[in-house]
Amino acid sequence: MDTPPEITHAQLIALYEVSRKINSELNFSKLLDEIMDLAIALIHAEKGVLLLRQPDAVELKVEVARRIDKQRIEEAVALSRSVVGKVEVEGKPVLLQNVPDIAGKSPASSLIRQKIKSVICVPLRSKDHLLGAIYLDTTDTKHFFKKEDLAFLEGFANLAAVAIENARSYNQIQDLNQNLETRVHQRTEEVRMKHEELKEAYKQLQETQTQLLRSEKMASLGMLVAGVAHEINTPLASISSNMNTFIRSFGKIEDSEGEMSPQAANTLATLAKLARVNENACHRINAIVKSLRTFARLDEEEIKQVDIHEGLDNTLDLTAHLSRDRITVIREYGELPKLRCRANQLNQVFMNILVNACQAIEGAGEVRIRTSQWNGNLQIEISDTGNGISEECLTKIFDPGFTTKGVGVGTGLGLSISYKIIEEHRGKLNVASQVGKGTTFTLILPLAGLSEEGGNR
Amino acid sequence: MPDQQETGLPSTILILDDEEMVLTSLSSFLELETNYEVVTFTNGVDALGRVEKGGVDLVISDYLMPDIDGITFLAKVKALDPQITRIILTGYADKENAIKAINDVGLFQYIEKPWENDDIRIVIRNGLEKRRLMRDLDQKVTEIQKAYGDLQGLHREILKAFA
Repeated sequence: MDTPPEITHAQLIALYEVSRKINSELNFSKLLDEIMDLAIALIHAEKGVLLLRQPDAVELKVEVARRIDKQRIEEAVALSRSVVGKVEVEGKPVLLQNVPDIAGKSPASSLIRQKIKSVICVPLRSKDHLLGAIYLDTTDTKHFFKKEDLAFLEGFANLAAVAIENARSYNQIQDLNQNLETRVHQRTEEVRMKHEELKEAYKQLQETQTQLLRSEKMASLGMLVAGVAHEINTPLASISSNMNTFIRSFGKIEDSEGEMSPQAANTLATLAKLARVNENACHRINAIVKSLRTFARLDEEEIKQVDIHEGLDNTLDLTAHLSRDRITVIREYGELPKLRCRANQLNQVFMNILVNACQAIEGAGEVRIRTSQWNGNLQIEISDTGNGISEECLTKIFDPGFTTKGVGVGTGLGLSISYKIIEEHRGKLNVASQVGKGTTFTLILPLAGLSEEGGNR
Repeated sequence: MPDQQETGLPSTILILDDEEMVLTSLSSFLELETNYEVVTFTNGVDALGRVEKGGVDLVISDYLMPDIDGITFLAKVKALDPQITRIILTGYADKENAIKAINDVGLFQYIEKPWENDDIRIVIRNGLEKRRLMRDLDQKVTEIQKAYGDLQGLHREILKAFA
């Protein structure tokens, strides 16, 4: 191996400066620019190109060109390529010091055409593979490249190669990082959306559970009522039939021959009277049992044409015990056509509101039910002269679980269920109230009613 | 007005219900206001035994009973004697099934518990009337068939005479 020609002290310092500079530049294209500019400056070249092999390719591509005449760029590049090709193949730098004097060879016509005096080309090598090459030339006849320049440029090329590799690695890391960030962001977004979906699903599940509980309660209540009603029927049938037979029998006794003592006649008359009272009482019991049955019917979901007034009256029968002797019930019924609806559910709504109304009235008062038709809608207003509801409570009144009745008295579900039922009938349930004066619930139901499939269900 | 059978004897009503009080109420009323003979049972097997003996014109049965259900009982009554009028006594909840049975088994009517005494009397009377009419019809058909048979015989004789 030849002893490398000496590098001057100045050149060493220059190399050090260069190494610092290029290692601080992480922007790849800026780095390449700097490398070329420095190379040209350091050996006083006129022009040149820097070529790099693409990461997965074999070809060397021109990355940077300096001071190459735009018109001559193709020629210049072709020339540099052929020199670089030699470097590539031989793996050694090329130095053509004095072009016209190249011994034994006639210089390439392109060299002559471009009046190139001196050419230098060094490989950019990293570890054991070729990254690229730096090609420089000059047409200055007074100044041509020397062996020292080559040595210097080789050292420089090594540094440059390292810097290029570093910059490439840095870029790769940045890309991967960016990629990772994007993916993390995507995943986070996905998780967030799934979370929203889950929240929604959970809410629906809770609602379904409430509905299920409600229908379970209704089902068991319905069965209870059906069972009780059935049991009551037989003894009731006996009593009512017997009372009728009593009346007939007393009549027969009266009609029979013979005088009766006034005492006997009176007793008989009393018995007959009482029997008639009993008979009426039995009719009343029968009506109540029928109302109960109608109210808790097991065919809960059935849609049919019903007379709303019938439902209201039925429900009033069942709340009679709450209003008797205390509350006056006033019915202002308008002319209403039949409504296609889930009668049983609407009865539930009436029940909820009427019970609340009676319970809101302390002592004596009035409950007024007004029905009317308006604008294709059926309107039912149930007002009471009770304690009224505060503004604060009014906003929460339809909330499930909200109750002012105290723990264990109510479930707080009555009005929320009622609201839902009216909603399902595509209607509206409104409330207006004044503390100390009373409350009015207004139900608005479209007369069109529910379709065969059940409206918006 | 009390009905009379062909034989001039009062009609016999059989009532089946697992509840004694129902039997007492119905029979007391019918005995007071009508001429019918009323026989009561709480047990399905005994009731069928009585039907087999014959002479029963109308049967009223409860719908839900522990040993046998009303529809099955009435179907058996029909098998024994299809001309007996069959009536079922049902609670409100069973009404739908009872109506279905009227078509399947062929019941005359259903009566809902609790009943009005007047209504039950009318239903029984109509049931017995129907039975009487059916029997009359049968009898008339038999008579016509016999008469037709006689006529055919006579026809043959005449042909023979002129052959």
